[in-house]
Amino acid sequence: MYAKISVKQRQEFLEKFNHIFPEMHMYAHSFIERRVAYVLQQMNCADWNQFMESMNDSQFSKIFMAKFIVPSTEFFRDSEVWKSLYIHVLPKILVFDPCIVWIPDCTSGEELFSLLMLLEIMGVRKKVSVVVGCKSEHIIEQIRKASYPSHAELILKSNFQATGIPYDISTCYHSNINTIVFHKHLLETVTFIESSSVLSQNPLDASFVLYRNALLYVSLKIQHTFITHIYNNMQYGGYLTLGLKEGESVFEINTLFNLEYPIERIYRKK
Amino acid sequence: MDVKKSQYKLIVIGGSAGSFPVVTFLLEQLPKKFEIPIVICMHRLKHVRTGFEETLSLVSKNMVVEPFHNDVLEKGKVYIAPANYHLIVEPDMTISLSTEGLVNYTRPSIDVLFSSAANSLKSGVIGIILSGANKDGAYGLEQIHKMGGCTIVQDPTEAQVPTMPLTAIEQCNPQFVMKHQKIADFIRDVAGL
Repeated sequence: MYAKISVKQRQEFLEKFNHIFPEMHMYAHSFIERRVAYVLQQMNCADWNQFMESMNDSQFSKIFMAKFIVPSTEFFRDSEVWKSLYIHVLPKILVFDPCIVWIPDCTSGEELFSLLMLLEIMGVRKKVSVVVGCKSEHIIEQIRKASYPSHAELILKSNFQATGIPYDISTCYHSNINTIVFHKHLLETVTFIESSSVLSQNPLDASFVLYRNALLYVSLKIQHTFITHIYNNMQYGGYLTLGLKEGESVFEINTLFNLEYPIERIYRKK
Repeated sequence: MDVKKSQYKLIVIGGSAGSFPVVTFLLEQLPKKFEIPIVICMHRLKHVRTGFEETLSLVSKNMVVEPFHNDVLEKGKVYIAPANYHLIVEPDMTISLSTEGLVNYTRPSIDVLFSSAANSLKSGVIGIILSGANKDGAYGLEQIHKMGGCTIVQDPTEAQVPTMPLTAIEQCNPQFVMKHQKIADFIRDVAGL
């Protein structure tokens, strides 16, 4: 449910825990206010002072941060984007040598596995190096397990079907009682980087950057800083995918990129 | 009920099953350059992106848009919450979009829209709940009520699916329960037309 902490509480939170979460200043203020309130609710913390005290415990603060991050919501989210990647973008990036795909802010692995499945379907997975930035070792461990709750399978199948790509997607994983587990070989060409923000990642010459719905949560100034940093780490002619409702507020994005596929928000580096 | 016309900065409308014809009717009734921006949150299939905005554009004299993140709410425009994103109203009258978890099994959620509008604009909000098949919106309408905004629910006797109006009436005790024609008259009147 929607709730917010007060501006004063947000300021107190940032001042006190700046040393633990230096990247927190990058988030939009309103996002911090509602997300902290959400985590408080999730962790059953009714008392603000008690919460602030508990944050001094490193274990508690780790759990807090894991809940604070907004997970990527589903496999093959926005099916039209994946269809366009399959038909137009991924075939084009294969001409790059080396061919590097960069996912700067991977929160739960759904985007990563969606990409890896597409590359597998195309028979080109081994030709592509995938660099994945994650905010914590815990997230990396979880993704390496390649295991997701079984209810995710319904969404995966439904979203994939909507792409119209003719393939039996269930060959990419096996189902257990409560989980689906992706075949581990999908991760063969993936390199994980533990990193608190995009700015500390420098995978030179990325051919394609998958960075969807992450800008929604950072301030306007940081949106531009991130996009410029991504631009500087891309090959000329490389592709960048943002979320379907992002990008318009990033000033100067149009001087750095051409919006090649407007509906899918797929940009190409100038 | 005393309704001060000048106090309202935003109209938020929520609906689900059976609400589309009412939304269409309401937009048809509003004149061009309507004085108060309108945000509509309707439950919708996430794979069906096109058609919604286009269909409403055909009947509305005001521009119907599916906003981008950080867009500013403007008079004379009707904003539709995009499929698979929550729409949040910020105090500076900008729109934030979010992929945070489902609320009431849905994204966009009416509760998220209404609560954020109430939280940001206090008594400056008119909230309207239309026909629908679940309880989404009742909590949000209650928040608008608590902040001093105006609360309206479509008369359940004419709603195609009355669950959403009935839940909102039970939870929030709205200021007005109206048939769709009266809702149209009311919002025209509030804008001084």
